Amino acid sequence: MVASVQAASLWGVQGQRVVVEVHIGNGLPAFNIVGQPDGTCREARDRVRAAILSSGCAWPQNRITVNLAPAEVRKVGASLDLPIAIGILVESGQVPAERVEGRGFLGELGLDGTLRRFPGVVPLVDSLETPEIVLPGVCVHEARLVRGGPLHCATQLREIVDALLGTMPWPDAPAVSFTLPVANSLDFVDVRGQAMARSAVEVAAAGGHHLLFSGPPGAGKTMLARRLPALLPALTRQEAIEVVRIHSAASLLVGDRLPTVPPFRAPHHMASAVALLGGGSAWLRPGELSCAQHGVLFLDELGEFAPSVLDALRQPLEEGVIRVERARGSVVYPARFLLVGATNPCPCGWLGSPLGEGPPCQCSPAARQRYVRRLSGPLLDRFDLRVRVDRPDASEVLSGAPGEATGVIAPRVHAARAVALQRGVGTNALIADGDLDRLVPLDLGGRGLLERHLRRGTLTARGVARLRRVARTIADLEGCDAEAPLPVDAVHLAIEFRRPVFDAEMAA
Amino acid sequence: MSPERERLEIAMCTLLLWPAMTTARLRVLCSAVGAEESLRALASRADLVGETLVEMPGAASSLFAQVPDLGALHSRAMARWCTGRAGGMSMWLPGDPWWEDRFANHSQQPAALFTRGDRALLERPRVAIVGTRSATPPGREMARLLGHELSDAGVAVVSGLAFGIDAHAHAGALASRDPAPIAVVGSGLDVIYPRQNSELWGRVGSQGLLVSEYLPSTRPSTHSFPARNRIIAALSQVVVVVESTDHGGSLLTADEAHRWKRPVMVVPGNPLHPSCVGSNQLLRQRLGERPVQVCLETADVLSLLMLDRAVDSGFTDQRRSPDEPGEAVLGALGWETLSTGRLVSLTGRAPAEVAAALDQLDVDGWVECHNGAWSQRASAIRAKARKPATSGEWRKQPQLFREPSAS
Repeated sequence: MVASVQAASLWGVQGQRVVVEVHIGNGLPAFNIVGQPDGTCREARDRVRAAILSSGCAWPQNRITVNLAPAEVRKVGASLDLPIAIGILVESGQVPAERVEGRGFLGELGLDGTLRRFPGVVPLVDSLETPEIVLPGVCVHEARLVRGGPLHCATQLREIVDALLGTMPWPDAPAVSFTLPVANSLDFVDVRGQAMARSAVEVAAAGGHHLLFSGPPGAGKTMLARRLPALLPALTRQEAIEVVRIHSAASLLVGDRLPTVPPFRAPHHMASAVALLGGGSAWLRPGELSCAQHGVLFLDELGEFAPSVLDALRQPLEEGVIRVERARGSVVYPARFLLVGATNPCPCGWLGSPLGEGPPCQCSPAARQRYVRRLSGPLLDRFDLRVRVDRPDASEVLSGAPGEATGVIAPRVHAARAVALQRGVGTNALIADGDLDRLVPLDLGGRGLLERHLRRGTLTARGVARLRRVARTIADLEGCDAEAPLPVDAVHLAIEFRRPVFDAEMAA
Repeated sequence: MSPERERLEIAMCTLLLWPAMTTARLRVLCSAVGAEESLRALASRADLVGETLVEMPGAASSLFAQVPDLGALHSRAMARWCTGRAGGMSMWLPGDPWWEDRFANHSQQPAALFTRGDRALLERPRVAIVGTRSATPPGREMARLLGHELSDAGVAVVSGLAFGIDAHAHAGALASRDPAPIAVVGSGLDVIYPRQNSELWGRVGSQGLLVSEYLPSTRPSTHSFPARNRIIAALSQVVVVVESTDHGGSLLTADEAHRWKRPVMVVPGNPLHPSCVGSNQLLRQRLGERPVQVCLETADVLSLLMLDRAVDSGFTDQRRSPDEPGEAVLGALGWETLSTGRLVSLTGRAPAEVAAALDQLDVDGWVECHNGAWSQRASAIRAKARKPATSGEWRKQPQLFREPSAS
């Protein structure tokens, strides 16, 4: 007779169902786990044995074989500790087999039988199709986000054994209220001056166009970027579940209620390519790009990121997904986010600042070139909005009128997004090249302007296509007729937003 | 090309490749016994070399410290020479036309030069425009303007094809009616450095003259640029320093100009800006033993060349006057470097309106954008129209100017 217990293991951001089969046969006492367990999973042997003994149950002195089916996929993490323990208890006759039927088990065990949280609660719970699920009490709030059906929880292995034997009722779910701090205190009212940057942030939020700030230290680049997520429309239920799934798989904190504010991720510039894109040798953890799904990815000090890491961003930016290919298999992570980059114009940061507002830039031309060259042309090209930000003027800081509040800007953004949705595209940044002439018609004035820039070589054909999408968003924000040709003003502003913030040619 | 000339050139290339060969040693050897004889002497007659270099202690012994395989050296020289010929380069040797006029037995004269382009440009009046690589926007504009106007007046503009002032001086010259840029570089003529200037390099090669002291395929090194500066000074009649940091290479060019007795002119710069500190210090020296003149406009240079009466630069400001929003933006911009955002807050106009005004001003040549910040183009200072004049009059009256003597 073989005991089998339903469980699940994490693969990328998906849960995959796993059946834990336990066989106890004659032979020298041994405990083996087969079915491609990774390091953490294999260490379950020692945790499970200690946990069973400290829960007052007996450890069978026979040859124990645990098989994790299906055998061809790799099992990672400690979430299989609990199902393995239950399987052994069933097979050794300490728990009746019929009591585990129709129940899925997930959880990591401590040596004293404590049940602990494990990464990927949301995707794992979601993938289990058993009518009931048993899992650690600390994970219940996460599991509830995606599962309405009966959930049993416990803090100790002993409580589960008692409940399965029927000697005790299932413990009540812990009344944890776990609310993530929401950064709703960040409001655009605090941003003084910065007319162009404000306008660019609004356009970025409305059209999903990637945004690049360049300016000296202290100009407010980070301040502007952190206020951007509040402008985006609240996450729909489906989007929120997707976000929670990814965050749970990435082992980030997940609250007890679905998030409404889009995520904001700001990885440090020392981050490796794997940290941003996802992957790793065993677990294939989702990276920062995926964690920013439906939200904002803010890369501060863009010029300090390793060039190879920056170039790795190009494909996800274009496709909206990341494909991680490993010898053992491949994973597709979602990665549709709004990229906001911030950089200094040169290593010291003061190049191009008005004289007297900071020390004059003393970087050598070679140092400037090296700094700028780290940002490859193809990556810079993907930023449709480039804004030079200077420190606000003293008069603006002290006596200037407070800026427009988030509560005033957000409705305009939402209205513009609604117009784009009616057009049949998710956001204006996603308008296909073939639809440009239909959705973004130009009149003579706009056509002449673009032609002038094409002839002067200040815009490329590709640049014009991207620019027209931005101009569409600007026009939508101003409530222009979606059928009429673009107003010339919108084209002017889009051209200004596309002006390079780095001198590529003669570096001086 | 005659076989004798070909032998001479290849012998010269071989000598240039000889270990421990310096320009001074090579020049003494060649002027005493000629290139081919020097090569033979190095190969077999140490006594002749010793006699020739008797005034340079240690020179002969270091030349013989490492005697190379002559056959290999010759084939390497031959390969370099062929590369040069294939790339359109030719050698300019002592005794060739213009050599004596330009270098006039000066102790620092080069031993041989490689050129590409039209050497007849050396016939023209020649002005060097040099300066820092990290130039300020007005400095760049001044270099461009000087280059343009001097070229219009029939003057060949000499510079070093580096970033900043050099590049803008050449770009200005190339934009004129009669471009005559002369570039002296610190690498072989087929080794483009800095690479970013490759387009400019090509245009100078096709419309002007490229000069180098180095064999084809020679990579630039730290000492090749100061050496290049002395050739810039030697080839010019006037050296104009537009902007220089307090340790800039253009200060070395100014020193060389004094050594070659070429007058130095300096464009005064903002005393607070690090890119102008060195050039302003040159100006302070004008009361000392090294006279330096102030250059405020092209006419100052032309008058020093005694070309002022014969030729007017003919510069007219043909830019369209800015419209009303353009005036407002220009007024707010002043002579500062400001971002668009700042201009929006200064003018109090809508971002789109300011963007439209800036775009038009940019197209009309009133402003330029560097690193995302706007500055006014300095030629706007010279908005007064000047009477148009014809260029090329100097050709009819070559006696009107006299070369500053160089002995």
